[in-house]
Amino acid sequence: MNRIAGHFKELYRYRTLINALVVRGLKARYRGSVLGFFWTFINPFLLMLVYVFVFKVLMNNGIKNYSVFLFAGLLPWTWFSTALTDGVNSIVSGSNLITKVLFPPQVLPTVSVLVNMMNYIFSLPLLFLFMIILHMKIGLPVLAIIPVIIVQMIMTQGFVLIAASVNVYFRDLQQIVSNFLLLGFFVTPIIYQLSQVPHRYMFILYLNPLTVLIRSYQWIFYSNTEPDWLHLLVMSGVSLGVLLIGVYIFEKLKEAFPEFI
Amino acid sequence: MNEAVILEHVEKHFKKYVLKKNYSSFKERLAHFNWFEKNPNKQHLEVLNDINLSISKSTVFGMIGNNGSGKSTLLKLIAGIYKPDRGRVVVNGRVSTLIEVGAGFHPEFTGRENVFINGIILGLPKKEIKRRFDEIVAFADLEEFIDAPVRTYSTGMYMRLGFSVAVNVDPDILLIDEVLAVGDESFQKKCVDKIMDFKARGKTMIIVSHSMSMIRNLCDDAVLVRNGALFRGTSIGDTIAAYQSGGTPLP
Repeated sequence: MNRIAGHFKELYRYRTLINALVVRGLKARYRGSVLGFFWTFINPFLLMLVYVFVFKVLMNNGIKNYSVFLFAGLLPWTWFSTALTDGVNSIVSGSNLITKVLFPPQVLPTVSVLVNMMNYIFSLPLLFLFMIILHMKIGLPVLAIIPVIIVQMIMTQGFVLIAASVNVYFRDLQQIVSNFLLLGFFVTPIIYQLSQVPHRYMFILYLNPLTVLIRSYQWIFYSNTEPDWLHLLVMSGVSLGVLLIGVYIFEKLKEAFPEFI
Repeated sequence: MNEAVILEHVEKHFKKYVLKKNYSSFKERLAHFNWFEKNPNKQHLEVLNDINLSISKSTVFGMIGNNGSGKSTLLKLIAGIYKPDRGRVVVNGRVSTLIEVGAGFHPEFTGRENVFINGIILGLPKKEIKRRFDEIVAFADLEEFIDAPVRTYSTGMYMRLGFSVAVNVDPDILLIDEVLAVGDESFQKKCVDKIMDFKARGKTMIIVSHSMSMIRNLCDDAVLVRNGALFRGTSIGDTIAAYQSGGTPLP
């Protein structure tokens, strides 16, 4: 218990460093490119065009305002998956820091989560732009994304802590994670609606902890309604559980990081 | 307390396969799996064995020894990066490390940006960095290039900036590992002045170096690391002589 409290205390103590590294991470991504920060918008926009072309134009899936529906789920998924791909490597690739300077290693996976969260938040104006173009309602339910984002942040942090620390000893994990994410993408209702899934297979989607979160974003942006608060409450419990397990594993493993990387 | 650093019965070993390579693949494990012995790879390599050492405050302390003798491991134990397998490491004061210059520098970012990040990594508040920024840059003699990305820096410039940040963090104990050799003569002179100034202000420095002249000129005391044990002669000259003779003055 003490260790778990210490984990968070250290993060708080090093908040200036986290802040600086997040800013650097955001800048680093597009440093040197001509369009620079605009890539934050261009990337998801191009991705969306690809999906709209395939799933709306080529195989008409009958979802109205598909671009907004897709964006609502795709953007937070990008946050989750990129945070995990960055995060699983964060300790190993931060070896020049961890073996040379004394500082809490949990800073690095946290930065992976926060950089991608900021990227998600920065890409939201694009979503709003499409909502306006398509004359969709933007109402008060939009405020509900704040708790949804928080729950997602907690869950992502938990998964990233587990992945980052285990990857130090078992480097195959980064390969496994990227394949798992591909599966995850298709068993989360991002490109299709949950209602399109046959009842028999519904349980697969509900075993996926991201389903409720992605659904919440879709309710908020696509349907202009509040998310299912009960489901969200259950998910926040699950997320806290994942985070605690993550912190526990990380704290168990972190002592030998400098020797293994 | 008069001691800056105390090590009592410190022992550190690494698992041998860790040293051989960072990880082993499944195929490799299958190929080398020994069915009759348990964990054939798990041999311990003792890097440091029952180390006792105390370093008093406001001294410049040198560490010498061959490559792989355990100097850097000792430094990392003092820094708190490694935990000892046995024994105790006591450190009185704030430690700053210069085990690798510019650890955490990002090549795409400018000298200015890197000074801030590096300073924060080493534990200096942002306000302090702002206050000391000009001093840091002037010390590194990089006014002209401070807004260029550090990937365009020469090794010497890189090293000067890293050193300059580390000494300006103003720690109580500064650990330096073989990094002073890179700068040009005028910069080395500056470093020596800075080290003397440090000492005058009651700070402690621990320097790992292969340059015997530097150890002789700078240090108040020195220790030889060999075969996981320490040898401390009656004087620095004595310790250096033991190193250079290559013999084993150890029990």
